[in-house]
Amino acid sequence: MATQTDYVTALIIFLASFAVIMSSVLAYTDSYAESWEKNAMNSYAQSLLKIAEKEWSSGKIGTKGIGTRAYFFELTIAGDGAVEIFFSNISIPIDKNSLAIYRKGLFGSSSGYSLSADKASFAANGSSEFVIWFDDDSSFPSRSENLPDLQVVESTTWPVEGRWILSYSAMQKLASEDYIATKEIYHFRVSVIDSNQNLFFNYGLEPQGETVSARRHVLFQKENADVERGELVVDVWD
Amino acid sequence: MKGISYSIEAVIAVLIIASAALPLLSLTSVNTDHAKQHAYQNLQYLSADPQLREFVFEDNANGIKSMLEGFFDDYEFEICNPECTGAKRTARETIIADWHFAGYRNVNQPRTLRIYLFG
Repeated sequence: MATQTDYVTALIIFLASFAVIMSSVLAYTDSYAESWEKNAMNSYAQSLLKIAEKEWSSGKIGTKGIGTRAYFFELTIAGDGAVEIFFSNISIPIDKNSLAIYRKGLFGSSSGYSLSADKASFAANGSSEFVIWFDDDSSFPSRSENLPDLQVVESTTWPVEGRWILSYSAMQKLASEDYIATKEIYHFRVSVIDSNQNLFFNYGLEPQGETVSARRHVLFQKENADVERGELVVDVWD
Repeated sequence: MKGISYSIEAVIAVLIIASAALPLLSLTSVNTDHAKQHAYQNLQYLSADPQLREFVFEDNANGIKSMLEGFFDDYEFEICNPECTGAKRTARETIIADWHFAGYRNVNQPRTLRIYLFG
């Protein structure tokens, strides 16, 4: 009798433990199967964020890029007056019309400047630091303006550095692409929103159903070559 | 006595089954991978502003904090010059993201900005 009780106890322990384990495993596999598709879409959305670090090319969206290698250098200004930037002093070829000049730490409102064959000039007030952005292959219209005659002030130019930013011309090229030709596994939409949460660029379809979104902070070029802070947003759905 | 040994056998059997299921339950978290990727994307973006580099080379913790604000939620950071000493706080899951700076302007002096993200 005692032996039978032992057998029954052992069986109950086994069945109870087995039931608990199996229910946990089944619950997990159910949720895993459900989330697999979502994870796949999420990974795809994350991978599409890399279009910010690739230059323009034709083909599917996963192989495209809307980035460009842009450059900046800092200028330290000694006082009030006109600041001159001689292009011959910069080691990288400059598209003069892509110049965008900002006070250091500030984006959003660039300083006006005048262009001549060999230099750009702008006005500075007080000792200050500026950051000058440019690239070498864009096609922005000139925005050279006439500045008042000011005495030239001394300035120090620091080394040029390169960064990936979103190219305005590449965004325009993507906008003209046929969606069906660019679509891969999932439907997608690529958007760029500015720091005020206004939509600057949009390509793809309107999201439908369960959608996965991925986003990253980016710098992007506006239509006049200004460099702005913003976010690249990718929506993906089946 | 036999019953007890069978009970032990049963428990061992359950443990074997559980250990077989364990790899399924302990798959690497996709969210952790994305959090890392997101951290590097944020650092890449922030480093586009020469202000961050200046703060790192001035050991300006308040300046760095003001730039990181809004990009990371639960975090600590340190400037490694060149060695990192580690976060003051520990958590079960901590993601570390490093961003290296070769120098500032005309000074070559490698430093690292290390971010600790707590899960």
